[in-house]
Formats: sequence, C-alpha cells, structure tokens
Amino acid sequence: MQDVVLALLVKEPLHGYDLRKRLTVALGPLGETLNAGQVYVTLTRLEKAGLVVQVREEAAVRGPKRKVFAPTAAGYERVAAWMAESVGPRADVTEFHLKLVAARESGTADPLALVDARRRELMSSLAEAQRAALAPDAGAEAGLLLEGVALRLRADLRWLEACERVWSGRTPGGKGRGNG
Amino acid sequence: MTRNGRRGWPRRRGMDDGAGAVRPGAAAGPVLRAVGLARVYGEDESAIWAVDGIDLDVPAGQMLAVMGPSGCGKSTLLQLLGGLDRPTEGEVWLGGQRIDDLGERALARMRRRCLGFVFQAYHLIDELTAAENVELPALLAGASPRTARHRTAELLDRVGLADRARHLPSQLSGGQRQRIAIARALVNKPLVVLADEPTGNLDSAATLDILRLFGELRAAGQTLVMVTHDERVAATADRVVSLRDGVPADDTALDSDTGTARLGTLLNWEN
Amino acid sequence: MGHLLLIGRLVLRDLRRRPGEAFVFLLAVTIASTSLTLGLATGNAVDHGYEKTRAATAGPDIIATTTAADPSGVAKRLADTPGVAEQAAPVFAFDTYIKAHGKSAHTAVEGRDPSQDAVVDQPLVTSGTWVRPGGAVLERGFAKALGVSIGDHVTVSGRDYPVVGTAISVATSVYPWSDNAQGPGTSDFGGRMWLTAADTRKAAGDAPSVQLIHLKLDDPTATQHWMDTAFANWNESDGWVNAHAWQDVLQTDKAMIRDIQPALVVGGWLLAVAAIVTLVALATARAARDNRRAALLKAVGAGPATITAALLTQHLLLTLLATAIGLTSGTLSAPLLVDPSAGLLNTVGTLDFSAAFAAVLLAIVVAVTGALRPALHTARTSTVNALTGPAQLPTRRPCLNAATAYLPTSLLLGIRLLARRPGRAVLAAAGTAATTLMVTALLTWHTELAARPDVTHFGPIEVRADQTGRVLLAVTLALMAMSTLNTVLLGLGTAVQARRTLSVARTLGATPGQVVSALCVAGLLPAVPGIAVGIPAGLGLYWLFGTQVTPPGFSLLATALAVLLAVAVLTALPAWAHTRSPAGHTLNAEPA
Repeated sequence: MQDVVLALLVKEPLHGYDLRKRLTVALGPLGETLNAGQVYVTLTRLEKAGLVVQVREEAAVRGPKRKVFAPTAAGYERVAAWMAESVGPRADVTEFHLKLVAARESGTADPLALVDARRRELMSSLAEAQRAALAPDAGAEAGLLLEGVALRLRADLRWLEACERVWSGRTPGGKGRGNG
Repeated sequence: MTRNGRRGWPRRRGMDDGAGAVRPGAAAGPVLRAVGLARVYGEDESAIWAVDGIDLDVPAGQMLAVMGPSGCGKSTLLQLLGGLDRPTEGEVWLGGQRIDDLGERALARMRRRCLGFVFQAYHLIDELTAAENVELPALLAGASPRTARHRTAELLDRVGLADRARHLPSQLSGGQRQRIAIARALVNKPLVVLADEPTGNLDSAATLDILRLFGELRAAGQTLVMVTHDERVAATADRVVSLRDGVPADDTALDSDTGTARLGTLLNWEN
Repeated sequence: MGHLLLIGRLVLRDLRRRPGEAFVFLLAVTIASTSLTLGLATGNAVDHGYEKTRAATAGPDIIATTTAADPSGVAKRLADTPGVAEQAAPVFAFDTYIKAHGKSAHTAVEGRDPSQDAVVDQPLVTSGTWVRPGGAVLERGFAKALGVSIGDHVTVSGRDYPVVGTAISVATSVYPWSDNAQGPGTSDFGGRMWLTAADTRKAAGDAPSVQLIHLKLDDPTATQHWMDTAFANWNESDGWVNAHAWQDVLQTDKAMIRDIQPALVVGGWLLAVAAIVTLVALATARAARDNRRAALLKAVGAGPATITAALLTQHLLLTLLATAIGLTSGTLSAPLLVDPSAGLLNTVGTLDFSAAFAAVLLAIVVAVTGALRPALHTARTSTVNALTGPAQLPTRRPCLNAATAYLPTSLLLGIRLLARRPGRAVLAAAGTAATTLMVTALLTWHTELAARPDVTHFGPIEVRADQTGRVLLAVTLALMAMSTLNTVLLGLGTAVQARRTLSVARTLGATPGQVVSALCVAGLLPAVPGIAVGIPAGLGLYWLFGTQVTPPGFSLLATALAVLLAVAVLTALPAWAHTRSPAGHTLNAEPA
C-alpha cells in the first residue's frame, strides 16, 4: 500500500482526498472497502519514514484544510526500486494491478515491461511445478498440490494476457511493439 | 495406466541410418527454419493474415512450444512447417532443404521420412487397428512388412500399449489414442515431431502421461515443435514462443535446472 | 397447420438451395418410370390400337382366301355354316410387285367397289380419298415404308396409277405381314393396296388370283370352333381355301413388339434399379446434411413424426412428380413405339393398371429409401450426438482385418474403406451389374444380327430389327448415363467420407498416387462382382426372350474391361480432385 501511494505521488503532489479518489478509480467496486482513514494513516507513516513531505496546505470548499504531499529524494529511490523488483511468487491480482496503475500514473516504468517480466517469472514457476509433477517420484498427494499450483499459475498467466491487451492499448506508442 | 516394461529412449542418431542427404548431423544449425513466413486466407478487404511474417529457427533436439490464444495463427504455423499448407510468402527449410516449393508428391515423400504429426483430434485412421495405424507410415515409406511390424511392436511397447495392438481406435480411450498417434509419428524416426494441441482433448492424468512421453522424447534428443494454448503444457518445453495476431510477441527460453527453488517460496514457511 | 407450414417451408428452402440435386433426382426417377411404363404399356397399346381400328373398319372375325375362280360356292357354304353374323361379298385380289420411286415391292392388290361400303372390312381412309377408277389407295404402313404419299404414282403390271389415298384395315396384319393374296405355298412378306374392282381385274390379266371372303361371327371369340365346323368335311374338290381368325392377325401384329417388349420391361426394371442406386447415392451424399437437419429440428422440439414427415414429403413430392411425368410420357409414346408401320389407329391407350401400379410402387420404394435412413438415424441417436458426432462408427471386422493385414497399403486402405460401407458396395455392384447386363444384351443382339443369313438383311424385316435395335440402344444409353452418374455420385460420397482418412494418410506421407489408387480400389472392387453377374445375366435374359446366341469371348472380355476402365476413371476423378489441395485443408475443415 505504501509503495502504491508513494508511486502515485511521483506524477504530481496530491492530498489525501485526491489520492483516495485515484485509488477508487483504479479499484472500482473493490475500492469501496478502502476508507479515507487508511490513506491518511499510510501518508503519515510515509512522512515518518522520510519518504514524503508536506509541500503546502490547500483550503477546501468545506471542512478542514488539506495537506498536499510530495515524495522526498529517498521516496523517489524507493519507487524506482519497487518498480524494478518482482512482486514475488505469491503476489495477488490486486497488488500487481495497482503496481501497473502506479507505473502508468508515475511514468516510472512501462506497464508492458512489467507484464513481460511477470510472465517470465510465472512461466518459470510453472515450468518448475510441471517438472515436479512429471517427475517419477511425485506421489498422488504431492501431485494434487502441484496440480493446484499449476492451475493457479496458469490462471495468472491468462490474466496477464488480458493485462497485456489492455495496457498495450493505453500506453502511448505501445501499439507497434516489436517482436519479442 | 501401465508403464511397466517401457524402456528408455535411445539417443537419436545422426546420419548413420542412411535416410539420405536430407538428414543433417544433429549439430549442423537449425533443423527446422522459417523465414518471413506468412499465410493469408481470403482476398482483398476480407483477407486475414493468419501468419504474418514469422522468422523461426529450431535447433536440433529442442522442444519448442508455440503458444497463444485461439485464432492467433499457431495451428496455421504448424501446418506450414509440416508442408500441410503452402505459405503465401516466405520459406520453410527442413534439414537444410527448402520444402515450401515442393510438389505434393515430393512433399509426401518428405513428410514420410522427416516428419511426424500428432494432432489434437488424434486423426487415427478409424478403419485400421492400433498396430496398423503405427505401421502405416513405415509401409508408406517403403519399409518391409517385417521391419514395420518389428518397429511397431517396439514403439507400442514403449508407449505402454503393447496389449492394445489389435484394437480399433474406437475401442481406445483418448489418452491411449494419443499415445498410439505419438507412436505412429515416431515410426519413421523423423527429424522433427510436430504436435498440434496434443493434449487438447485429454484430462489431467492423460495430459501428464503424454507430457511424460514428450519428456522422454526430449531426453532422447528428439526435436519437437508443439502448438498449445495451455500454459501448463508449454511450461514443459525448452523454449516458448507466444504468438499474437500472427506474429511472435515473446520468445522465452525456460531454464530446466532451477529445481524447485521458486516453488519453495510459495510455501511461505516464515508465517 | 403449423406443422404443414413448417414442412412446406423446409421443403421449399431445400429445393431452392439445391436445385441441381432435385433435378438429378427428378431425371433419374422419370427415366426409370417412363421406361417401365413403356415396357408394360406396349402390349396393351397394340391391343388398344387393334380394337379401335377393328371397330372403325368393321374388321372381320374370319378371313378366308380361295383360289376358286368363282367364289360363290365357297361363299355360300361358309354363309350356311351356323354362327355367321355377316358376310361381305368376295373381294377379287392378286399378288404382284409394284414399282414406286424406282423401288419394287411385293404386294397384294384388292379390287373394291367404290360406290358401296363393304359390310365387313371396309378400310378406313386415313388421308386422301377412297379408290376411284384409275386411282390407287395404299395401306398406310406400306405407303410409309415405300415413301409414297398422295399424288405420287405407282406402277402395277405396267400401268401407272396415281395414289389418291392411304387407308388402314385389320383384315390383315400390319405391314410387312399384309400380303393376303398369295395362293398355296409359302407366303412372303408384302404390302397391301386397293384399286377399283375393274382396274384390279384389268391389272391382274392372266396372273393367278384369289378371292377374299370376310365374315363376322355371332360370337367373335368362338373362331376356332366355327372354323372346325365349317371345314370339317372339306375336300380337295371343293377348292383350295385358307382361313384364319382375327386372333391370328393380332398375334402377328404383336410380333412387331415381340423383341422390343422384353428389352423395355427388363430395361425398365434395370433403370429402376439404377434410379434407386442414384437416389441412395444422393441420399448418402446428403446424409450428413439430412442427419444434422433432423437433429436441429429435434433440438428445437420436433418429434420423430414431424422429422420423418419433413424428409419424406420432399422425397415423395419429387418422386410423385417424376412418376406422373414418366407415366404420361410412357403412355403417350407407347403407340409410336409399338406401331412403327402405322398400320393401326394411332390412339393413346388408357393407362394400364399394372404399369401404373409398378410405377407408383417404384416411386414409394424410392421415396422411402431416401427418407427412411436419416429419419431412423435421428430417432435412434441422441440429439447431442447427432449434432456433433460422426455419422457412423466403423464396425469391427476382425476376420477382414486379419485377411487384409498383409496387403499393399493402397489396397489395404481401399478395402477397409469399402468394408466400412458395405451397403454402398452393394449399390455400386448393382448399378454396374445393370449396365453390364444391358451392354451384354446389346452386344448379343448385334452378334445375332451379324450372324443372320444375308437375305434377311434386306426388305421389310429390317423395320422390326431397326426398331429393336433402337430400343435396345436407347435403354442401354439411358442406363449407361445413369450408371455414370451413379458412379460419380458414389465415388464422391466415398471421397467425402474417406476425406479425413485420406488426409491423415497424406500427412503420414501417402503420395497423391497412393491416395487415388486407394479410392480406385474401393470403387473397382464392387464393380468386379457386378460385371461377373451382369454378363451371364445379360446373356441369360437374351436367351430367354430371343435366340441363343453367344457373342465372341473377346468382345465379352472387352466389355468387362471397358466397364472396369470406366468405373476406374470415374472413381479416380473425385480422388484426384482431393489430392489437388494441400493435405492440411481437409483437416482444418474437420471439427476437432
């Protein structure tokens, strides 16, 4: 969550309300569970860690004044590092989806490159799972586990195909991709 | 399923089996090669470029998976590679010989000596028994009935179906039929086996069976190109080419020596 | 109502989408039913023509010929025999040759009284006028054979007579059996003409002459009994008299069709067999489509009855139409065929019951054969299977598998393909047998014709031989045309159903040549028993109806080889077409 919020601030400084609005757009109906408090808690933690700073205060139409935050130099580094690293074998769909949104918003990474990297990663895991399943010493119980793992990985890979289709249409200049 | 009695696959041989000048040594460059391959269906405005300019080299002994959603041109590519269809543009080279400009008769000769096909729908000949199906390509290639029978018995034994030799395809299960089809594809010791969705009609257990068989082929050095839309099948290959709208979108080599390092992280022991 | 609308719509749509198929169907059934009607109606047509002519000309029951110069004694004795209803005055006649257009022809010349109609046998003038002094009337068939028409001149005994009319009569048989003026001794073929009595006597001069006495009996059926009574105590001194009854005349008239009727009846049934083969071949070619359509109907809630009705209606409509055309054309053309010498009134006979029955039977067999299979198939299989599954699964034939396992690949594939569709093999064999049979009969007939003494090659007998030859040739050609069609249809059916198998064989490296030869084997094998049955059957049938002549062995062998070659070429065509396209195309078209 911290990484996502931080990456969203890279494009332009935002206050908590706008951040929440942005997240709600990316998450759709799933974002309804995200309450305003969570965003502010995250911002406070980032500020304590020295990754964001308050750049100004804006007067709202109603209610209290809004604090506008921007990343610090350490914050920028953290975002770049996050984009470069893998989301890990157990990452769920929402996590990778938000990473793709953040990458596009912040312009710090090409979502398609992220998708490609993720696919290779998943494919290698799947290859391992399949090899293990094909090994002569795979018992019935282990075989069942491996089949579950393989099916999960396959589902993720299929979702990546959908991501690729959609994101290649959104990224400027993403249409005419060369051969892989 | 019985797999007792199945022996290991011998390493495939190079030029020593006297099949003629078409067969190169295993190390002499790609066995199968496509250059600027394209295939158009229809004409003018309704024309569909099923395959739209593919360059592909398949080195000897490689197991290549061609992946992609349905309609991406992967089956067309396989048919072009196997000389079952003619490209609109581009060239296909098999074992150092260009095959896309051969006549039907020469293509037939080339297929029987250098290629083995495995199809999703098995495409066994319903009128022939399992053993006869396996024998057929050998007989077509001019092997003596004795040699063909001998080789068939050997292959049926290896795919674990020695006891089903006299059955008609309609009396066999899907997995058994596909194993017969694989035995049939191998009977002439082809340079390349081309498999089109070999597990498309099979359940998980039968799929694993076929994949094990392919694994043994690969270990024996058999060059194999298979088309699949199932990532689990593609993951067993050495190399995966993803097609998107008739062009390769991704070409990944899969490392086969990682053990289960990645899988281990899935278990998340620290929690 | 709703069902009727649905069925009507389905039938119409199908006819509109496949007019060619409907046309072939119509043609095949029409040819078969016409020929069948013709064969069965010819006998009837002769009877009918004879009856009509007899009524119109006061035809005699008994015709007596005497050489007595004064016939009054004979006439009186005949008139006194009980049972005579009416008796015409004796007619003076003599036997001579006439010349017309430089040709010479044997004929009887009868002297008639133009002022008064005879009570028995008054010939019916069909064109021009009746005899007048110096003017001759020729029997219509005779005039036609001579090529003489009104206004032409004929020469009798050196005198020239203009032809003033043509007429017909049943006192004699039709040309060339109409010379009744020949005295004792063997009689020749010849025609018949009329002059006035005075002209006849003048023309006859000193030549031997006869007197013709025509009688009508109270009971026309009792002719034999009457003759037995009248001539019981006849002896040489009473003078030479020859008498025959109307039944003899009709019998001779029918001799004209004696040779062509078997050809037509047998040919008709053979054509019917060929038509059924065509139909089943068509049905096989469309079996997949029909099965699928039936399944679709079933899927949307149609019951087996509706499906059968829809399929049957279409076949029945076409077949009934074809049968109606066949019956009409057969009945209309029967008189033309049976009376080439034009000696009888040319009227359209009423429809013969047996002919109509046979034709309708054929129609029903044909329609049911076409519709039953898909209907039954649908009723038996589940909807889902019918929509997705193959039409038929191969049956197990372990014996065949064992027996053919050691054959060359093409042969093995061909035989296995054949064994998968035994019904089709039987059909192909039946079609080939029918054609071979007819060709053999034609060959035998030609052999007989060639073997006949030269004398019979000329003159009036040729009329009959020509007619038989034409009928045989026409039936044979029709059969050959239908067989060609059948072979192509069956070949196409085999090729369509074997397409997948052959495509697979091609991916395995079977060359186009091997594929074509496999299909050819599948086509040729059933033709062999067909020929083996057809040749002896053709000979047997010919021997049964005609003379026992055997064509030379080499020509029979040539026939067999020619039929085989034709079948091979016709089967190879669709196979060859199959190998033109790359092997992958058919596999693509197959549902996975």
